[in-house]
Amino acid sequence: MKNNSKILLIITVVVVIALSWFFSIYNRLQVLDEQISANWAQVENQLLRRNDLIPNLVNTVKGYTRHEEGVYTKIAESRSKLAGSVGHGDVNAVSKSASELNSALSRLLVIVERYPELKADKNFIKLQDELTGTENRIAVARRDYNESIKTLNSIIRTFPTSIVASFAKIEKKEYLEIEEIKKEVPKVEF
Amino acid sequence: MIKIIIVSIFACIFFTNSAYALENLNFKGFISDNANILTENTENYLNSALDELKDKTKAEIAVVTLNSLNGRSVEETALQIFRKYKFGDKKLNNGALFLIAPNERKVRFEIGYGLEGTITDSYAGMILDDYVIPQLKKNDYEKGIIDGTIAIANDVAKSYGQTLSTSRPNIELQNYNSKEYTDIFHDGNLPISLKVLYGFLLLQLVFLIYLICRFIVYLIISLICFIIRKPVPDRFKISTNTSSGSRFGRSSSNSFGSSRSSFGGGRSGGGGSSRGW
Repeated sequence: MKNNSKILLIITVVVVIALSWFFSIYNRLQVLDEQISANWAQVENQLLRRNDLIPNLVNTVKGYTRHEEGVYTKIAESRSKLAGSVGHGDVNAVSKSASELNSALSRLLVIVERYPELKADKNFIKLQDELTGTENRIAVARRDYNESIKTLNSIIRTFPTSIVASFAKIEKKEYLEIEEIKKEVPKVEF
Repeated sequence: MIKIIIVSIFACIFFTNSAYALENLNFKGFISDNANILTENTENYLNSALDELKDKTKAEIAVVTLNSLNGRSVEETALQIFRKYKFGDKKLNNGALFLIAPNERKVRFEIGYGLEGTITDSYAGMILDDYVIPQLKKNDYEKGIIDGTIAIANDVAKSYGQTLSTSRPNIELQNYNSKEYTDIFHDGNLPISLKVLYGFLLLQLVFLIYLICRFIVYLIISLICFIIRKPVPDRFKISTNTSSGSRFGRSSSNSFGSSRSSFGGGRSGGGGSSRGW
């Protein structure tokens, strides 16, 4: 009888420890998942903020450079595409349209390099500062998002925490990759 | 053997982590002049202005000069410093960081979330263009840093409906009544011997509280042990020869140590503006 109760005690202790471990991991996963949603919202937020800046910038550039309609339409197109892909939680779509917009903006910046008066324009400098600042915010938000994904994915992939993750039905998430704006001017050879 | 392995594993983890971490900055008030380009007079002057700003608005503006960015971008470095020291009030997030790397010829204003509306990226860029860069180009680092900092401080104060006693254009450094700054004692009037005594008494108090807590735990444990009729485990007994020397050594190096972490806890998401010259 005495032996029995001892075994029972040991089993109870083990179960209690296992359960508390399980729930601590479970809760951690939930918190991380929430964190990822918040970080993702921040990414989308900053992408939209940049979207709002772009028309002003394009208009200022248009005032100096009239013969670059192709670039402007491309920017307008990819801009509305990005606006459409935001808000559905689709990482791939956002990544694709943001990269597209970035390559269009790279072309715009190449054009800008050819117009010294434009580069000296106070209004343009302001807009460009806002754009660079937002670019930096996007980069920061993206990095924060990817960091939180990394933490979650490593919990999901490693044993024994993977058991809890499969129980909690939390799945591995994808990193967000956005092609960056190329700042350097391509060399023109004659 | 196992102990050695465990210790070495921990050591490895510790060192690999610290290798990438930003080294601790030495803050004197709001200033950390690692590149040694500011005179004491300037530091006191800026500190008094920034202290006034903090008193009136809770906003914290830090000025950091770095000898080297270690190959990182000025944006990344500024964000790291900001996130480590957390300038600005925790709820208002109204901090800003003015980072100057004279060797890489790069400056940046990193603006916390709460001030992004007041100091927009373009505005920060304008301050850099108008007040800072022209002076830096003339190698007058001090004036550039003072003008930029005071300009931002005044704008922040204005957005809270306050005015600072140091307005931007007339800066008279010589006549300025400097206020002494130390890391933990902000009133600055105590002589050093008193400060040491103060610190010592504080540590004694902390240690006393610790002992009392330990004693209470010991009482509870012994009561439980009495009820279940077991001897009190050694771990909970209060030994008479606690290594108080190392204990004091450790805690004193914490409270008198170099890193000041008394900034408010504000956050930043990469807003601001940078320039090179």
